[in-house]
Amino acid sequence: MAAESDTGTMSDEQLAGVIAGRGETDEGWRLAREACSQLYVRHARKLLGFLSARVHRNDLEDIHQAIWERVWNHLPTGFHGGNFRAWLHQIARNYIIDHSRKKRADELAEDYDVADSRVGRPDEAVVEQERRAALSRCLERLAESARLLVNARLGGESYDEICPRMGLKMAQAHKLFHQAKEQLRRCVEAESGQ
Amino acid sequence: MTLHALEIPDEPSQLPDWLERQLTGRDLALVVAELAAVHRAPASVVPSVYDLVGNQFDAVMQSGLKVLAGSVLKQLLTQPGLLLELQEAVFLHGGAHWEHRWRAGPQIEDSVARGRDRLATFLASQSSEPAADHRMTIVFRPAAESAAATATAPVVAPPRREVPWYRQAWVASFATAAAVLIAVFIVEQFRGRPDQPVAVASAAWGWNKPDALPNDLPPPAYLNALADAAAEWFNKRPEGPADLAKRIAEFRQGCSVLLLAKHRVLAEQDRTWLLERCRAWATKLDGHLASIESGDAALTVRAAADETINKLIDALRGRAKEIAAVQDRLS
Repeated sequence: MAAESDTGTMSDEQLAGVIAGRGETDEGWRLAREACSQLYVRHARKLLGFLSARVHRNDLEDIHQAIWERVWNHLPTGFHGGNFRAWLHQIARNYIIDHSRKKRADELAEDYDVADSRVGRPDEAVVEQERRAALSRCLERLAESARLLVNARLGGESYDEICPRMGLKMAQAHKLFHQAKEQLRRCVEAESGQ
Repeated sequence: MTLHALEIPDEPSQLPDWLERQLTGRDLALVVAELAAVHRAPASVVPSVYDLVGNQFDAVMQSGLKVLAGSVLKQLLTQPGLLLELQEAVFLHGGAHWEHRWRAGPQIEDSVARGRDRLATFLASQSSEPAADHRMTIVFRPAAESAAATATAPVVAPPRREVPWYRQAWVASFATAAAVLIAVFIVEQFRGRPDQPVAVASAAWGWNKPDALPNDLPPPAYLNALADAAAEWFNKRPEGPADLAKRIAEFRQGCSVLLLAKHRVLAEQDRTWLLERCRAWATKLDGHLASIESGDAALTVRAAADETINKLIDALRGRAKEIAAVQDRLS
């Protein structure tokens, strides 16, 4: 569905205008479809990236599709000019919230664990919660020096900053971090049952 | 299994590039979760990403993270929730540099391609003619299936069964509209004040009111009017979680109104300022909503929301004063 060159040179807002004003003629609809495809080409990657940090991976592509369908269906009445990207963002946000509420209702209906905060927080799915909890537990099991080193490295400190403070030689610090990484990886795998 | 955060580069000079790849990749949520496990909850109040980046915001949106000082990058790592905010900001405002990043990341390319096929199928099913029962219906496969089925034709469902007229959507719509008209008529008869609006929707307060954005006022008065409208938050003091969540959601809805409005009375730099602040307030309100929904005590969340709203009122009035002072000097 490569968009033709006339839509390729239009701004997002012009494309949105073409979709919104598609009217009732076949030609209007053909142009509107092209405009929608062009907007997809421009924004699908960033929308998928945005969504992938906020919805469950299994739902990602269905939600992405549903949002583009909303864009198509709502543009004629819901877009009043202005920044298309901001409007797309609002559509996506609202969809995530609706999806989260619906999921909560479904899960409550199925007698799921109400304390599972994933149902109330669309920005933190259960996979991330598990990863966070498992890594927290595994960090507790590291030797203190290794834990401090991991903390400093993942806080953006360089070895040049860390080594003098911790009294480590450069090679020692590298080796200690490498060992800590391996230990954490194995521990999180075991904790996650992988 | 990969622990993504532990792949952080040794060289600080490579940190901006690594962070950008996380921000535009598919695993940001896991990176954030891992960093949160390492750094736990911050002791102090977390600033918004707009506060953190400050006047370098535009430069970041145009040129990427390399413009930021190491200390700022470190805060992004130790307060990883900011990475989600930053990703959202990049989605909204990222320029050519970020476009290149989004396109260079191979991780989501398969999803983009599948989505393109699905959208093409959807658009092909759209027609300028009104929907009719004899039209074929395109059925979309779930994403998991569509991965294996991208090369196959869409499934064509059999024509829908005839629906009795009394169960068709237009009948329901007509009946609803008629019921509303009758209700309005009855209310008007009993009220005896036909010049007053019949009813105000529960969310029509603050920035959701039809007259909340008075475009006929000079800029300082406009911003003060926005502050006055925001102060309506304090007119109700819900104590239960459900009522508080509803109130916060209504205020948040007002933020969307502000974000999508044109604010024609404001100069470009004031409009930009307002939208940036509004995004930061929206993020804070989302946080309060998430807190109440995850079971935090209602009064604690309400106090936090009060603080956010007091700050935004102060910011609006402060900006109004600044603009008025400049106008005074010029006149």
